[in-house]
Amino acid sequence: MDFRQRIEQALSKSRARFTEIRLEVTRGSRVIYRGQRLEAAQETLDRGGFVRCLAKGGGWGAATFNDLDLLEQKVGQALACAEAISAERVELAEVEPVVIEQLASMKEDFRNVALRDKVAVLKELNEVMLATEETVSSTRSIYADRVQTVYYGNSQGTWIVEERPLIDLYCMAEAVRGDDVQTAGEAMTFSNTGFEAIRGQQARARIAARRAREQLDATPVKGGVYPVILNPSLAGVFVHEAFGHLSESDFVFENEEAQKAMRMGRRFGREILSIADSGLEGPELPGTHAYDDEGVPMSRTQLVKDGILVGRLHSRETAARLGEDPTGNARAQDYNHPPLVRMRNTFIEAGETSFEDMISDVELGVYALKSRGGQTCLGNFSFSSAYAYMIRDGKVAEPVRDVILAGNLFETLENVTAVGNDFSWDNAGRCGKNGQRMPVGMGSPHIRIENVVVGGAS
Amino acid sequence: MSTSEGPLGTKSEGLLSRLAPLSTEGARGEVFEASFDTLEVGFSAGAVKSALARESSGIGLRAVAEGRMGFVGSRDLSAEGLAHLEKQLVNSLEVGDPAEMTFPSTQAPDPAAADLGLSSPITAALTIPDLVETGEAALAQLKERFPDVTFDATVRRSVGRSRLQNTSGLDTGEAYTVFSFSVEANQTQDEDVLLDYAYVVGTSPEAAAPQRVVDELVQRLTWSQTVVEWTPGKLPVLFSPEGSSLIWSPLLQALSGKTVMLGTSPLRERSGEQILGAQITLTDDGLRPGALGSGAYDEEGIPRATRSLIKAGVLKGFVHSLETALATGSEPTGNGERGGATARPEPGFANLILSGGDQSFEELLASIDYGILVHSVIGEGQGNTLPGTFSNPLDLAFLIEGGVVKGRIKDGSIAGDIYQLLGPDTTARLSREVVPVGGSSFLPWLLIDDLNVVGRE
Repeated sequence: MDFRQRIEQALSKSRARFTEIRLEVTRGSRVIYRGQRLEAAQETLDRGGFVRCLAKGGGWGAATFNDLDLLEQKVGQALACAEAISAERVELAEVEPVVIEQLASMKEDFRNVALRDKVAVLKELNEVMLATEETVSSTRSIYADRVQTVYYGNSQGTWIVEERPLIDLYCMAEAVRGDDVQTAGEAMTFSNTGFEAIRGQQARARIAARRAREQLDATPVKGGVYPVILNPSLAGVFVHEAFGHLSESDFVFENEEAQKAMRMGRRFGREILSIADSGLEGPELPGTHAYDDEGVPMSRTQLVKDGILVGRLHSRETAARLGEDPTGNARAQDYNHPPLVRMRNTFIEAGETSFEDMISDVELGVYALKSRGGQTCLGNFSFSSAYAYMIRDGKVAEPVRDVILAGNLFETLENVTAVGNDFSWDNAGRCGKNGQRMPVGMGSPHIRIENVVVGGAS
Repeated sequence: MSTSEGPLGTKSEGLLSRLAPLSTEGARGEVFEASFDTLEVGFSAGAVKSALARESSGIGLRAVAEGRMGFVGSRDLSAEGLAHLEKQLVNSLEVGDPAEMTFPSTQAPDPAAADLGLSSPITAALTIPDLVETGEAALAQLKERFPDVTFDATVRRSVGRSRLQNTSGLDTGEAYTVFSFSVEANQTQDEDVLLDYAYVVGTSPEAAAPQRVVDELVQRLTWSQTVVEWTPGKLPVLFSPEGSSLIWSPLLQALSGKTVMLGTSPLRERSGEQILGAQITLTDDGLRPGALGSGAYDEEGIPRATRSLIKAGVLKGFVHSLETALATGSEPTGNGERGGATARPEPGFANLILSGGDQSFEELLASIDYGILVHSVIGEGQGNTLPGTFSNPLDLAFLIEGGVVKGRIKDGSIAGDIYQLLGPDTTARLSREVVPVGGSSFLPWLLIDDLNVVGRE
């Protein structure tokens, strides 16, 4: 019996007010080099299911499992879970049922590339790093691919099959001089792209090696408050961390005080600032899909327009609760998890300022590039740059390191005083929330922010 | 629904003898099978919201054949899935690095492992209504105390089992139970968003003590209600047991056989040296009754033990898996841990115990004229933490004045180097109380006299 029949049969037997089933088969491979050593070269197989039900008058019950032969039993268990609690009745925003099957199309399908060939390509990139700089004594190179095939059906007639190919490539070089160890990494994530994406990335490997060595020469930044220019890659992480998470409606939908803070029409920045989250950008971006994990068509959602808050991101449940339209932002990492309100590809729209104009009147500031990680505690955020330079008298000056930028979202967005004309989707990666790591895209032009707290050891 | 009775890991029964690559001369291998069965209740905005049943199983298979290492993992334990596993293993062995690893035969466990109390029938018997009751009882107290705060919570009980078999004849397994309770508090007032989180976990509700979540949150939310002005500078900083992980994490990374093997551990050549202050003693105890990291054997079949890693500031040892022990010419230490059924074994800690000092938390607090209490920072673990330097914005932190917590502070950040702050001459002090953090770490409060705290002008 194929997956569609299995799911439809299980749905037809469900006594719940609403039932949805997600079955997944994921095949992947993973290669890791640490220095000269091949740490891992393996293929993995994952298979499992997720069932979620709404009880007659109540809320969610769910079941996750590996043995797909148990599907009908699991539908019963999910409903039993829902009926075992006396939760407030959950409503879902209306969505048109859809039937669609979308298979992956890759130029060089990595499912047909032998593990030994993946090892060979990564080995070459790894050796480029070791050969580029004498001070690079160790590396961490990772190639990981997977095709997650998702079979989704719900009791309202929606049936979706989607193959989700994803490749991660990471080249990290570790440069050592005496006791000083500095690392630099180039991370790439490609969605809906074949093995061709990995060929010809030697230049990125070389960049990682050079940057690790350059970091040895950089001096720790002097902590303080500076005007800061973020490059597109770091600005993308900034908008994701600092703003994006607050626009996820599961944060506000049951919290009136938070709704007041995130009220529509509130000014969040100057007129130059516009922010959106979209699932409709290029297919290679990891937040792009036709439908989310509740079968809602993805959209482009304007969040901030000319400095004013105009929208937010929804699941079917949060949209119904707040009386707004669903946006297609319910995403689940895999069958082990229920969908949560998640960003897709989040970006600051291009402005009009050239980089030269942005930097020319900065007497003393920091030019921070690329992210090394970021975290938000809703109002407050922190992100660290992979490398940075001081700005002196309007010019990029000496390299500095250990640059960690911190601030309060509301103040910081108001302090964005310039938005560049050089937009790029320069960052793709994973975002963690409630134990789920989702592939997301991040984009921006260069931006300038006044009065940023820069942490430093001195 | 409980799986705490009955045989362990039946899907991998006899698997090793059926695999073609393992029939070659000198070939050897191991198979690890693990499964768990979880019930979980979620509360949102103070009310029960969802219930979830989770059932998961998987296997990890490692082999050395014709001198090469291979590893595969699968969560598809159907006949078809297991057949596919053999093909995957062939692929992995084909490209694997040369390896000399051998798998241990059965060694007698430490006598102390006879009764570790890792599996509680009470936990295994908990139903969804039981979990709801635990959550509601705790949330009722919190809501009464703080009507303006939004509370989300999760109550969970798990029954897990694992089995490890290898071609050296080892066949061992374990059944365990886990109960956990966590609450996230959110208080939003215009531009001020306060978030706090408390979590307890143990083999049973009694061991986890959910009331601790309530008591901790009441304490910190009470301190948080006033936001106070403060003056940055070099200040005494008192870290809560949870907050102190910022300070201890780089040290733990450096004590891992993995970083020793890679040559990146700053401690790799300092065995026997006084690296930290004499007040600091760190033990890894794989045999602590009722602690989640305990067991007769590690996840590679080496008997677990109680080992001193740092004794009165002197570096005594590292934690090793089979792989890192072999690569560094050390003995395996019973610290081969898997981050799940399908993950490769890596060196990990069983139960970390940082022995306490001689002053109580109250005494440490009372000794501070003007300083900061840090419960959490933002961005912990970002960047390259191994050298021991850190620089993080404060998340939840409080001003201490005249030995008393005055209120919450904002816009601070801290920076330093743990090897300087905790070095042989350190004046850092640890509390007498040692608090379970995450079920397998037992940490005191930590007072550092002179830490650089940056503010915002």
